[in-house]
Amino acid sequence: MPLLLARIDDRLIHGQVVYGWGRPLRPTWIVIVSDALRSDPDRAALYLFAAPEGARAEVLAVGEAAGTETRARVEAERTFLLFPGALEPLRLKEAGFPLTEVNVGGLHHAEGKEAVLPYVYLDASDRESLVALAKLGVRLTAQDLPGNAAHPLEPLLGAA
Amino acid sequence: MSAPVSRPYALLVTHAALGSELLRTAEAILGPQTDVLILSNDGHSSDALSQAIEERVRSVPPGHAVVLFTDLAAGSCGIASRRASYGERVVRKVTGVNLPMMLEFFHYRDALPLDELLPRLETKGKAGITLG
Repeated sequence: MPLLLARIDDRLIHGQVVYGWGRPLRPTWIVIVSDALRSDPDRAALYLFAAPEGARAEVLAVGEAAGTETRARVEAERTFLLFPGALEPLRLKEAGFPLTEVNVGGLHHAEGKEAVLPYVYLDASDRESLVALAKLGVRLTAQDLPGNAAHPLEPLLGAA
Repeated sequence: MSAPVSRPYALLVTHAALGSELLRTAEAILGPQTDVLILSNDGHSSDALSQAIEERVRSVPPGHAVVLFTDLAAGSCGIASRRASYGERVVRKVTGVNLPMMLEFFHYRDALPLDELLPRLETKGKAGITLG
């Protein structure tokens, strides 16, 4: 089964992912790809607790997610990959993981970030990572929920 | 003689405008309420939401407990409420907030100690769900 959803979302597993995307796509495996959370099991547990019925959730470091075991399991499962920021998918792609499309679903306001869409705020390093992902051939789409408009993100990256 | 109950504050942390509308609706039934704080998850990252919760809790005068209501236990609000650190403050968390629960809270928060109030909120919240 191809990867169902690869999504940048700083809320990770939460309502939009569990209900908005989870109900129609019915994931069986939800992977948070984050070195920071991988080394903080207490914080990770808070997100993993939120996994929907029918799905197992776990946190993998970028290096682990890039491994052949993960790729094989993605083939066998209905998988969501969730990234807390733009750097993790870039590192994953650079490590050889066959990422072809990334959904940018939530990068919320923080100091020094500018609004591109109401749910996408970027700073220079976010832009750099996203531009690099696009250059590697990854299609970037901003879309918070399946029923809402999908915006190609690349044209918005140079705007502000 | 038992110590007087120090009124707990309500902090509603919800998706979109659910918290402010729940308060507005409860006030339409019970009249104006004070000592209620509302926080929407709109525009907040996970980190920002737990920080905003901590700020709201710090804004409550010391000596008052906080009952923190969230809508979805497995949503950004529920997660952030469990992530936030509250130091010495008494913060009791209730998920699945609904109108019967809020009415019960406003009705009894000055009369009952927290340990009696909280189970009552759970009972009323669940009892408000019936099938016809």
